[in-house]
Amino acid sequence: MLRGIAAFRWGTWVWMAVVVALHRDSLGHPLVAWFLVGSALAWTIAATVLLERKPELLERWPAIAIELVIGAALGIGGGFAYAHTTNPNVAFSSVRTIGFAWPIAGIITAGIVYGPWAGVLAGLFVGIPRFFSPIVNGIRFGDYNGGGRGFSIASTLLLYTLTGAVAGYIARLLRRAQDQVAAARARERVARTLHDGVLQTLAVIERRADDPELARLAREQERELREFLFGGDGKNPADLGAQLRAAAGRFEDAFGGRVDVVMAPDLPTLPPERVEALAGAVGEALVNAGKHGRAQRVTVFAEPADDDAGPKGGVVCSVHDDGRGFDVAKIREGVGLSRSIRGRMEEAGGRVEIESRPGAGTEVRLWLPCA
Amino acid sequence: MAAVRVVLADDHSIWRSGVRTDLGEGFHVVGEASDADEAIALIKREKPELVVCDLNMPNGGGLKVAKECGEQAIIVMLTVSEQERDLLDAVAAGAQGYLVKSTPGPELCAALLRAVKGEPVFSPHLASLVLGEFRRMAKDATGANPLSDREREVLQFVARGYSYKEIGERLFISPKTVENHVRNILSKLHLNRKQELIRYAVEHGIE
Repeated sequence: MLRGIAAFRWGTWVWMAVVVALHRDSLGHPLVAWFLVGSALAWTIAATVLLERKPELLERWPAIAIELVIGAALGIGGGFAYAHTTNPNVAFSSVRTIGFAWPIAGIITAGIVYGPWAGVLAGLFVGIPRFFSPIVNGIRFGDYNGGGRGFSIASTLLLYTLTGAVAGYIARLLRRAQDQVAAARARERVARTLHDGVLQTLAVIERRADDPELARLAREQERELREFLFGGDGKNPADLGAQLRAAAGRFEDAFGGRVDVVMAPDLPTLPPERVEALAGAVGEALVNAGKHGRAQRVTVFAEPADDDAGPKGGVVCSVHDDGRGFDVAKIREGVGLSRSIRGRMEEAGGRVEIESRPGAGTEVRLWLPCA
Repeated sequence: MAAVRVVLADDHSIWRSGVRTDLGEGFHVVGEASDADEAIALIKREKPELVVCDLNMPNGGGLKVAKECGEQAIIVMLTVSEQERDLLDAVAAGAQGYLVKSTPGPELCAALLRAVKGEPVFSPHLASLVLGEFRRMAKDATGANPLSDREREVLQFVARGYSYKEIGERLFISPKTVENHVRNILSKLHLNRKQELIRYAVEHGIE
């Protein structure tokens, strides 16, 4: 980025020098003009040398200040050097200045380093002195009666401030994107390390521990780590997978069994309130499985409802346990079942089906449309 | 029954020794490998009946082993994470199935013995991945062999956590028939993957 600005400085400086050389016969104060062109050249060279030797200095405030001061001097001194008119209407509407484009380099740098608002301030700092250049030539603003070809200086000022703001804004976006990429990479690295080491070790402990409490602890830690590595933390209300895994975790903590949460790879997205309804209903079904069914193994499976009997474009979720089961015809709708599960689902526009037999586990099937 | 000849491949030695202890009487470990190339060489030399292989290993991982040796031995993948798409690739490449590493010892042994008898070791996660894969192929309309209604039904039961026996009871067929359905699903997946690769190669002018 700095390299581009350096090239820009050289290009605009050459143009400035050519214009002044062409106008050399009409200059009111040629010495002042050449002094200004010389200062700009001096900084253009200095900045190029700095870029090669110590580029970080170019992003510090003294360098930016020097460049902005020269830019402002070009604005105020340019009009004086030309002294091309004594007509206030001409003077104030189309100020002749030296190096209209060169100061933009400094404004861009200020925006990049200190943000959009700094860019705007730099633009004002360089642009406003241009209004004073006719005054330096002894023309009073009071004599200006609004004639002439309109405020060309005003449009220059606008250009300067906008350039500063845009440069600052874009630089900020770029920096943010870079940060995000770096953060994602770091996370990936951490995930790979933990995946290979810690997760494996936890799995060994879980498998080989004679103490069920130790196994449960390892399982809990594994679940939390996995959640951190591969998915949300269960706090994102729109993430069905994370919500279901959180419900599964609560079951495992409370009843000591084991829940597999299986998510189809191509599940449609549900609005957050439906995710909440579905996850809540699944949570209730799990509580029933643990409390009444004494289940130890439960599978929660969510898939798109497209090729099912259910409503098209929705989600079907099954909660299937290995518990004691019950006679669906005999047991009148248990309190937990009817209110929490059926209530939640019907409110969200879905429905519930229960299949169970004494001694053969229970499956609760939940349908929910996407919209 | 004679002990099953097994090769263990995993880059963590703690795992290999752990699994070996768990395997016990019914199995005879004929060799251990710590990366894919080593495993392939070992399998070619020892000709085991069963390979228990980590999905994530150096030099190509379980995927490479399944591709190279899927025809010569029964390969069961072990994995820590069930969310990996590689799993699907490994099964499509010729693995008989997979188990998560946290599977308790007795359950692991039982599953491996079933695998040796030719029964696909299909977990709910794998069933769900395969279902999704067939849905994707149907949507892309690549002319692939779709699942029959019965096959999809079977796979959905597996994904919901039913055993082959339970599925058989519900569909009024024998567990053997359920197993056959699962095997057919696997070979369809295998075939479709091959066709996709060939089509891709033709379309992109790779010879």
